Amino acid sequence: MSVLTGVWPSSELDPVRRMRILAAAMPQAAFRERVLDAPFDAVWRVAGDLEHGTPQWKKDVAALAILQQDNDRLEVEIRSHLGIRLRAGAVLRPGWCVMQARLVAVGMAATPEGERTRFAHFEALRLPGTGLLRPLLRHRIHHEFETLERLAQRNRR
Amino acid sequence: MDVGVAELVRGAQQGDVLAMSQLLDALAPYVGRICGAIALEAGQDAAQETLISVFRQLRSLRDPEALYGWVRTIAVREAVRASRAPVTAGPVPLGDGLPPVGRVDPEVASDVRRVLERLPAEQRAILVLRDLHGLDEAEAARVLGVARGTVKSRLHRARALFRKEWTR
Repeated sequence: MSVLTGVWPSSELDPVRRMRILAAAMPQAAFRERVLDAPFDAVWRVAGDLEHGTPQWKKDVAALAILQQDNDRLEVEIRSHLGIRLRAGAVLRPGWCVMQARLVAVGMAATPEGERTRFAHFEALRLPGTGLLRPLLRHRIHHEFETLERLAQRNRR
Repeated sequence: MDVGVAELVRGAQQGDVLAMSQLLDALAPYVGRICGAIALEAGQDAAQETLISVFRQLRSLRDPEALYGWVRTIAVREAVRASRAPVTAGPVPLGDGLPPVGRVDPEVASDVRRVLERLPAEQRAILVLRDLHGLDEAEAARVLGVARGTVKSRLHRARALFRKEWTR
């Protein structure tokens, strides 16, 4: 690599662009993105607070507990309203979160867009044939975005 | 190659989303440097499309050691293609495309960009491969899918034009 590397133009990819790439790699993923009418900090205070924020806007999550944390790597336990418990590995940093359990993967990303926030989210069931559920998941995500936006607006400081 | 990256490739090929996320962290700056230098304003779109292709085709990569060379070929071709297409009004505002300033002299970076803007995308691609990545003529010809003679003449023209514009 040339010593002049640093003076050549370079393109950085923000978290939402990166999440589009990750979702595109999973044919069964239900992906949506939307500009939320709240600043990045307010949105990420809810979305990035996995234990307290997630159960408030993710319809199927009753509780989420962080079991272990090592820098941006986490081990979490998710409990659904039906009482199903899932252990998941996760990566969490500002504007970026990916969680993976044996049968499901979830990702969310946020990037500031002026005073508002572009937010991207996917859910993927890691089983063959579950791509058929994608329209239902996308519909649910649409409503979850509305809840997240309301919570973020309330959280605006 | 970093053993860790080879492991990430194998994990990502098996559908491990956390491995995919880490592999993306490793590849995004590499692809961003190639696409930014060749596609300029369209660099972010080109880098995004490159990485979508890379991750969709990752299962076809048999040797993880070949990852970076394989990604470079896709990135260069995508960046040249994106340079020819009109810049799309993407939903995400484009940055100024300049490298992170850090210890780099921003005036020099800005001058390099100004000069590159005057070169055709094919010539920017050959400069990136030969002068930034240090590929020889045969390797550069393979990446670009052109004859060695074409690489030689394009490089000659690109360097001459770069020097001329640089000293203006």
